Amino acid sequence: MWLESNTRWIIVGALLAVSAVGRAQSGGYSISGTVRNSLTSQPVRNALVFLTSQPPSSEHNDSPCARRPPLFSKTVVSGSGGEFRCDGLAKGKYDVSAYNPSFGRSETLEEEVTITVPSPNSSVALRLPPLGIIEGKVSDRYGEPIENVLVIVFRLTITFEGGLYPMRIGTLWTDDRGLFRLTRVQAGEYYVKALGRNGGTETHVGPGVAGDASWESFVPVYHDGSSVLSSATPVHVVTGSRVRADFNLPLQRAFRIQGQLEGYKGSESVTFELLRGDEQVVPNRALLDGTTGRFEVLDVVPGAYTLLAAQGNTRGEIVVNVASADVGGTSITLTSPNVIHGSIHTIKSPTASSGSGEGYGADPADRCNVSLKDGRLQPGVDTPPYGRGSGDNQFDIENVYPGKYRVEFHCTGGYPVSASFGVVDLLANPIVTISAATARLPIEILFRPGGGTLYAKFAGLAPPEGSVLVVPQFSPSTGPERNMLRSACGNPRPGEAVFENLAPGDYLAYGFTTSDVEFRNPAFFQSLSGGASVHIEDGKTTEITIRDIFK
Amino acid sequence: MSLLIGPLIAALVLPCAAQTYRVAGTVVDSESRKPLNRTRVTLTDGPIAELSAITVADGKFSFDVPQGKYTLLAAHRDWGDTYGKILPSSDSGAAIITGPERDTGHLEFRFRAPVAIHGKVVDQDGEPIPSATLELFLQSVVAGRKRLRSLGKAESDDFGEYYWSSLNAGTYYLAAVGEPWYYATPFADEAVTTASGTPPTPYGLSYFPGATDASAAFPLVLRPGADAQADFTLRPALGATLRFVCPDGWCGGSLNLYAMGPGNMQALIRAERTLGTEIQSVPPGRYTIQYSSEEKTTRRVIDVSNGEVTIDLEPKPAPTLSGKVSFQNPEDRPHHPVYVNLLDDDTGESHAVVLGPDGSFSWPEIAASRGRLFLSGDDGFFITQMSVDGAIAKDGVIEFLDGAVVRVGIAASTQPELSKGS
Repeated sequence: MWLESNTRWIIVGALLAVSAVGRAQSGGYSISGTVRNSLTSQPVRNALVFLTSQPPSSEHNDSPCARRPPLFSKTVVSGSGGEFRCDGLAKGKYDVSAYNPSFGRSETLEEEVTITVPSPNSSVALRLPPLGIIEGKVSDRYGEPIENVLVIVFRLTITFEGGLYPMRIGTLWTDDRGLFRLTRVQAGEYYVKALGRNGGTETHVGPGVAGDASWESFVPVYHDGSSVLSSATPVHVVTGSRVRADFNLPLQRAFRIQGQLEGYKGSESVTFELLRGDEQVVPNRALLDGTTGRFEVLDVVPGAYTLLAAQGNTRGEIVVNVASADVGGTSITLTSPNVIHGSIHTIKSPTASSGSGEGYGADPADRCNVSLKDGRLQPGVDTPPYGRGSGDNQFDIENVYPGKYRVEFHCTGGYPVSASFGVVDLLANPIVTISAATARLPIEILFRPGGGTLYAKFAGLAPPEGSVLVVPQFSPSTGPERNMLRSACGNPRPGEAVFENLAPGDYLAYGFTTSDVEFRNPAFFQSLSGGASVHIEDGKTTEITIRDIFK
Repeated sequence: MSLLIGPLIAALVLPCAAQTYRVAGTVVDSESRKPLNRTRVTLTDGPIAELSAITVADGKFSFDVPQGKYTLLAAHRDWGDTYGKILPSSDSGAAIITGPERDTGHLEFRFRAPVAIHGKVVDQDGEPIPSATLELFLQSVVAGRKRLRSLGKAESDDFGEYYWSSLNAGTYYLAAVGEPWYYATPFADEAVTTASGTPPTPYGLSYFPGATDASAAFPLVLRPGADAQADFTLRPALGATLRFVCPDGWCGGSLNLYAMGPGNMQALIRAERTLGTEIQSVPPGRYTIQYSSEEKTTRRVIDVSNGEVTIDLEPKPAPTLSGKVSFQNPEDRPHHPVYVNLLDDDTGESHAVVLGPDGSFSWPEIAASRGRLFLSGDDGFFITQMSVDGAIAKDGVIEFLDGAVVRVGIAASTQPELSKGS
């Protein structure tokens, strides 16, 4: 198992805590203390304790936001009683913090006390909150454990583009006792899902035999028995808790899909995925004859699927219905990805004096970033295909495989007046289906330099994570936009959200205390009320104050 | 007649009014001899494509099939076994031959359940060591030699615990090595000191049941269904520092450091990391170094005592192997795919490529190693004569050195003769 989180490394840089000092014998000074578990008060052994001293502020008269390099830093490891000590310190101010990967950030983080050496205090007490554990057992209806079940743990996050994203925290598989366990889990809500038999593609020289191929499998399911995310119940992890997520899987007779890969290249590995709806998938267990490209996908329970095969940069897919027997004689043709061509035509701005868009790239194609987002909820998906300028107002989106995508625009120096993909009006409906037939259609964008500028601020105190959402009240449009409130560091108008190059028209603006705004979800808009009305004019700047703050 | 859920017939092509014979019996646990419930029994490889049935509490199964030669398989809780299999790690079993006066109706399928090995890795104070690396080795006989073959690595969790399951019964060796979590962390500066005032030290390699010397390693001999516990206590290792000197003064790429394992049969891994300029705390002993950088590799054997050892690394392109097979008897031509196999004489691992229509084959890149070639395939061809160019060959073992371009000529026949090296 592994923790798919980078939290363990990024925590440390942010840790700052209390310090206290005592006189050392050799004419220098020392800092000592203990690190304890904040929940049990047990000492924490093998915690790294960081000591840093900051230069006097008089040496830096610049912005308080500027980072100052420490004059001194030292790292010691806590002993079996959680104790630590650092000797030979000079006079000065020191910050002390601790870190251990099984614990979260220090609870004294917010206090950020610095003490000048020497000090009458003799000991520093650092408390680390223990992280949580999610564990469970996967068994069948007879209570027998099921081995090699792939279990994923994820939490829902909201992307910058306002969509819901299942961020995978852990990928685990059960042992022969049916057990799985994920440690170092931050407090929060998590979904636990059994995806299928752990596997991948076994490549053989000649036909392969799956000696241990199961004759039973199951439909992907959440730990509460739900088959879809919308009805699944998350588990709640709090500091130091051990949360159980057991599965009782209704096993079904499993079958195989056999077939031939056309366009198979023997030198590269192949993965097979069985897609069933828009839920997450993992590579399926499969056997592949490395010499002929004949394949056999295992563990398939009855249902309707899209079977996707990928090798290198080639992919292919077929629709397969599995009823009550193995399915043979299928064929998947591996093809190279498509290139979607596009063009951006610039029209004259009604306000010639402003918003010309110059300076954002000599070619207008560089002013709008066009990307294709996969419609499926897929954690860990690579960067989506996006347009690259090819000169003369043209752009190309490479590596586009057949499928359903959402076309997103991010323009600078102006705004799109219209956008189309074939006969599809992308401003009215940004969802497109790419196939061998439609891949030849161009994306055409009419771009107008300029637009209006909006400064939006809150009536009261600006929350540090606050954001503003502006929703166009006209159609067609590129849809809602969300921007964060500017921080106090290095910004001319801190505490305000700034929107530039807005298309002229009427908007409603909403304020939020958080940046997690799921504005791509239609149900979310139904929950909103009020909003500050604002009219945007080309070439002009408008300021508003938002009084109704959500969340 | 047993009570069956099924039989589940995947495909059945029987000639009309064909005489059938019964293949029937009981699946029992090989150790307890108790019948096995919910076990899928499959009859395959005969004139029919496949027949399968699932047992109930009495473990019985029954098929009526035409005269022929069959393979009988059983799968219980994702674990498969073949009827009449002699070696647990082999896929080959005894054929079921049906026909007149052959009793195939009273079979006892002694199903060998998988084994599991689990344990905990702690330090000298009994504290769990997370992320310790454990490597499992299976003892087997390959090409007439007893060898250890690595079955892969596992990593201990935050509780210091590890687990291997779905293993064949057999004889295993285990090794463990680790580092304190704060050793070489990316964010701790170089001045990290432990509570005792010393720099962090990695833990030394330990062979089960706690030996630091490979010759004192003890095997785990596991019967089918065994659940063995193998705990480790790792202690800080004070050893030599290996310093590396590379072309252009810079060492990129990665390096694997292997220590000679039990009986010098197999090199056990000691460390694997992105190469810097040195590796510290390497206990005394004989090691094999495999270094690769920018598609170049080198393999070195070094003896380490205490102090410092300076090693010059001069990677070269990986060895290549190509050749051609000629069939001695013009009437003795292959009717099925023929595979050329390269067996690593030290590790026992083998890789295969299929022979081209003109009898040629090639490996564009192989590891620097000592290996043997042999043929496989349904036609049963053997190597009767072999010439080697670009490498030294002795007693059928080819020495693949860094940068070698090796070409072999092979004469093959279905009539086995002694292999002749040159």
